[in-house]
Amino acid sequence: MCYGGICWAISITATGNWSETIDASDLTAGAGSNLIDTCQSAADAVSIDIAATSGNWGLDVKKITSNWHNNLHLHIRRTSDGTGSGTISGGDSYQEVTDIDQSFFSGNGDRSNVNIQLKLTGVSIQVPPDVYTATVYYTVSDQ
Amino acid sequence: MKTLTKILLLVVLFAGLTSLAIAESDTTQSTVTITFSEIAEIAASGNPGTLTIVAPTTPGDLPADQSDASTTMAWTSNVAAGQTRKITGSLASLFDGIDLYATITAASGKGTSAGELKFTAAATDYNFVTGIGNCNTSGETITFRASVTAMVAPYTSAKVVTWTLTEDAL
Repeated sequence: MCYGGICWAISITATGNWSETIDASDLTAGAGSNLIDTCQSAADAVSIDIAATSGNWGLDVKKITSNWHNNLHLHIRRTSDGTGSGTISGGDSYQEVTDIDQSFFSGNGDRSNVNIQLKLTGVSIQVPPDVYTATVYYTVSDQ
Repeated sequence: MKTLTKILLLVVLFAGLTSLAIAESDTTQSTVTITFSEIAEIAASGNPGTLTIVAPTTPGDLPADQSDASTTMAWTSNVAAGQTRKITGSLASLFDGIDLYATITAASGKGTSAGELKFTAAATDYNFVTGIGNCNTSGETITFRASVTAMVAPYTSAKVVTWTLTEDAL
């Protein structure tokens, strides 16, 4: 966003986190059965605002884990376009979040309240009881 | 006066540029926290059939043993690294003149069956399956065997066997 030749930095804000507890209520059929393979957050678990844009931008996503299990896979998708003067596209189908930046969605102009949903796959009784944490990083860049 | 001079200089500097970008990207984050709780679920499919002791075919012998393998066991267990669970069985009270034995099978990777064990004492836990890690299984056969040890007056009695999935001793 530029006024009089001065451009403000593009900025991104994420609001919300996702916490999920897997317990016996998640068994597919009680004793003897395995856990559900997949669980997902609310459709609006995370809301993203992108502001001070100067044109086209792209958003990358990655995760950094502090305690994780190799069976677990985190996926992400965009569930709303949000609001704002600009446009937005892509990212509306689940994609796996890896440890390196990957293109998530892109747009043009400012957008607010872009809702994000997260999904965990690989859930099974093989995953030992513990607390597993991933920090998801969203990076918006001018394009 | 010196301060005013500096401010004016900065304004002139910015105005002289056609475009000044402070940064081209920005990063934010959210946190995903997944808690896997401990799970220890066990279920028997139901009650076994009645074990009916009948007269021996040869006078002087004790009645033959009677068995039932009509029920099954299912369990789901996850434990912290380095830990395991076991299935214990306990007979509430003993039968007169009859020893009761039981066996629970355990498929590969679902624990280790102890084979047939006798309920020697009442209200005492016996380890029927040990070494249960992170697994789930169903349809594991429970076999009961009643063995007459002494002739007693005819009677009918129902006893409760309690199966428990619990932590193995470390």
